[in-house]
Amino acid sequence: MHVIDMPVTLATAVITVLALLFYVWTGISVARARGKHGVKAPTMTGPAEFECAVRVQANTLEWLVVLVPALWLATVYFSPAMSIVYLSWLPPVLGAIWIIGRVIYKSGYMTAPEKRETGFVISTLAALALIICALIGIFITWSAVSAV
Amino acid sequence: MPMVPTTLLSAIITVLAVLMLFYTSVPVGRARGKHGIKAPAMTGHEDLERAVRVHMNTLEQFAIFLPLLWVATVYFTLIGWLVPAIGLVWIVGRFIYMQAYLADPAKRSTGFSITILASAALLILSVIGVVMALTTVTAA
Repeated sequence: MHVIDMPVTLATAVITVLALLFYVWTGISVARARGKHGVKAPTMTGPAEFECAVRVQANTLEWLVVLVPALWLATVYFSPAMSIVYLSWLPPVLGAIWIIGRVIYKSGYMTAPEKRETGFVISTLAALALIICALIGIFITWSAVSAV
Repeated sequence: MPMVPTTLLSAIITVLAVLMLFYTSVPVGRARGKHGIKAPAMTGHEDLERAVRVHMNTLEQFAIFLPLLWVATVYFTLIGWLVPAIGLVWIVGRFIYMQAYLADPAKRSTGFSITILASAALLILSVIGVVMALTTVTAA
């Protein structure tokens, strides 16, 4: 397998950059909605399209700060502790699922606010799974260290 | 126990702080449901507005806290357990802040002060650690 030659940290780095780029994109959508509807700063309310774009960006920021530490803690502590190579790839894979969930969330929310749930649930579950991976990794590392 | 490295303790603190941040978002959804305030509206009832402010302020403070926690963990190595201990104080401060703010916004300052002081302490330790590292590098 060619992919396995790539270190997990590198895959996580790529996922981190993609997650940040997605966040920048949510900001661009806010700026575009401002221009389209003539909503001048510092106003944060206005037509539904603008308010939805604002909420997508804000909610993505709220979750980005959960995702990034959880993703890296899982990569540093969970991945090296896994003897099955496919399991060690779980953190960047979950990170990719988070991004996909966020893309679905954004397009759903921009269509109609009540359509935001599917994407929200996907990305939230991915983030919570990463927190669990981080905790498992920390626990295994702690056990190994204190057994010395 | 004394063999546990500081980075591992800070990793635990990071997970706990992330969970704390997540916990502050729970009352937002609850207030939305209770008072029937549909997205994207962010106003409509005092309960929702308090919950939103707790969540937002915790997010703002978290963005300051997390880099400082890790810079201090990596560079301030004089007393290993001190940095994660201060991190724990930050989490406790946020918990107090959340409970007080949701009950009565006027009572939010105690928890807020604990958090700010913990972040200030991490900033000082980060600066000390970085200066010490710079001194070592330039002396070599």
